[in-house]
Amino acid sequence: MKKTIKKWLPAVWIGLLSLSVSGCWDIHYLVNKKIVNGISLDKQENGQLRGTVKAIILESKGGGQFNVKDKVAQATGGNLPEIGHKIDSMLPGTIEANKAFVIIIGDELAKQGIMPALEFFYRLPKAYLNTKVLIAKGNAAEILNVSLLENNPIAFDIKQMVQGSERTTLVPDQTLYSLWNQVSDPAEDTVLPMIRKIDHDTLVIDSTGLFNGDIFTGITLSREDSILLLLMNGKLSKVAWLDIPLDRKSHSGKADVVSFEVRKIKRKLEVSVNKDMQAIESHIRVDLYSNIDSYTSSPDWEIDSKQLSKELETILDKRASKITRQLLKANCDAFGIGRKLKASHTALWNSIDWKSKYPEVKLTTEIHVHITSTGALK
Amino acid sequence: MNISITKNQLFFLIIKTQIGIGLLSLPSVIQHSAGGDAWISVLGSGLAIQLLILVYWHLCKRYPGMNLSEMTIVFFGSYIGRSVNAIYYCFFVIIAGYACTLYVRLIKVWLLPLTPGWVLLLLIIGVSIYLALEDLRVIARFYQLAAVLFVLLFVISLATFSNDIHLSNILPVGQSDISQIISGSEKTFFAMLGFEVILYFSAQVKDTPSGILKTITMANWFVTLFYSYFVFICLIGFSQEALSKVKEPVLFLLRGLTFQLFDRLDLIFLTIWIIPMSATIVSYFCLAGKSLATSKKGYQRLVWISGLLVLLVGSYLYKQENMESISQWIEYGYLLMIVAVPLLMWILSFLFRSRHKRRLT
Repeated sequence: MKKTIKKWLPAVWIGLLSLSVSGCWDIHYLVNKKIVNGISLDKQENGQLRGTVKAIILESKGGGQFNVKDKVAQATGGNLPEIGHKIDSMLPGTIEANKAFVIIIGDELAKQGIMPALEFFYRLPKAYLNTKVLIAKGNAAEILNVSLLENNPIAFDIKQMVQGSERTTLVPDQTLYSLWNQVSDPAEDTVLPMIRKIDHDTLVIDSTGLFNGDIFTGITLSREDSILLLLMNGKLSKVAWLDIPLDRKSHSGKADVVSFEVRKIKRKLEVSVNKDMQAIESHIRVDLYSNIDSYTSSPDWEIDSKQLSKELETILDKRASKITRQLLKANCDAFGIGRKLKASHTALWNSIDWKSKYPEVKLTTEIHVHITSTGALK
Repeated sequence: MNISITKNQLFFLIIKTQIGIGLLSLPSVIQHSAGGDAWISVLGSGLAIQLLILVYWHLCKRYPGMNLSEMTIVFFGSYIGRSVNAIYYCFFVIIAGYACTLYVRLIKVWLLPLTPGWVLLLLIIGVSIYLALEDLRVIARFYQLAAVLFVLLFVISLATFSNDIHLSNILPVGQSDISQIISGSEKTFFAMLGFEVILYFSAQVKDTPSGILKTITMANWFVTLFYSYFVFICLIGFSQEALSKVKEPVLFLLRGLTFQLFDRLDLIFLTIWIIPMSATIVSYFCLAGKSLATSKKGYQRLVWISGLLVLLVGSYLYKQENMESISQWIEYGYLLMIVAVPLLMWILSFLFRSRHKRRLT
């Protein structure tokens, strides 16, 4: 009996010690924290950064219920931690940015390069890297100051808006984590969702900004182009909704829009090198398998699948080549052609400067539409 | 003192000692020299270790039932043999102290930034001594049980495939020179250390030599494949530029994951990883004890003393700002103690064969 006690004693000791001792220094009380859930960064005229944060405030209503509100705070500084430290002195409690849902970067700042401003998050082991990154058209602080719903923390709403847009393949799913891998890879460029204010209480996320390295090129793709870019990149989320105005005039004389929902895609990217011309050629073929949601162009609403898909293909092909032109102009290798070239033509890759060579790539596209369903109507 | 263990238990003793803190930073370390071919480096290192453990096995087969500390006495005589064992003892204590330092630094960066180093050091050493005091069979059983966690860690690592992965990062295979791959292997070798337990523990295995060979080979390739798998997922999960900047890529890789119920899988992973890391330290306590003591009582006393020494070494190393030169010396020490000395003994065993045979029978 005595022996067993002697044997167990150290175990109990160690258990108690590790439970209690480690908490002595690294204990964090939630009540002492000021949780930041949205951050925006803008460029200041003097070359500094202007950071705005939205901090969550919990107000007890009694009975274990809370009212969630948010409070805004703003500071300027040379980098993110400096801004954080200044804001920490303005707010009660310790500022805690490791649960920020969104980071919004003003386009003026983004044009100078975004990575130096974000470096802090990667270096800090505590930081949360699943934060959504958005580029604001105009002033990012203004976006964070919009109140969509009375008293509802704006960062939650923006996060949900982004997720909604991601679900329909409107904007790419970009977090701090995925962003770094893409930006740091010389064989690939990134695209980020854009957010803009259209009203004093309305925000919209429906376009994509093209990047060259970590620098925002200023070129954005609007709704339909943004979807098509993602589809050409093989990144279909759950669904993609395309509303394509047909070229022909309908029987009623109004411009006709056919709406369809892409449910499945097949995408093939080929990269080849033309030896004689020293030219790099790339070809993208995308097969879209889609359901027709709305089609009123024919008098009886009946769909001739073959003819309609052909019509859609011509329109989409035209748009696709417009997008590729924009990509080449922006020097944004969003498709990862460089990556493919590096793997298949290593010697060439090592001998060229990809950034200067990319705009000369011959990029061709081919889009096929397969209508798999026309809904409940014929 | 010499309670027998099964060969199954030997397997877990080896893998638990080998797999430890080294893996977490390994991918960026070898990517630095071998680039996209880093995974080949790991396999190359496994091959080198396989050759080395063949030598170990042959040596152990020649002197059945003897561990290294008994062999040194047979080889070098009572006085020199004992001093060689004393050097081994110091070596194992320093390794344990060094491992503790790395361990504490890691925990301080990722989990408990404000807790003083000595508290963590004390906790780690306390837990390790508690297990190391038991006989080898108990330790092996604990390792066997804790090996279940490897399955869990593997499952967590599978989640990283939901990130953007690019197989093209490792293409074309063979993009680095042979010399670069070999220099990567060299670095991997030092992250895979721990197989020297064979020299001490295989004497206690009740099995045929061929059975032991099979076990240690399996253990080696299990570890090699485990390591190459983690290096591989880091290579395809990071861009090369990002990978070269990250200190612990295996943890960083998990930072991008989020699930409805779980967030920060890296911290969950690290919390589980604490157990294999501690197991490494337990093994070195055990080796230190076995290198000098022959009785159970002496062994236990020695483990306590080693605990104190490891605490001193650990807190000394912990204060050092620059660990690089120390790491370099420890690597040299490793090459001397686990490659040069056993090789020398193996070669001598051919020369002394007849004499030793007479003495052993």
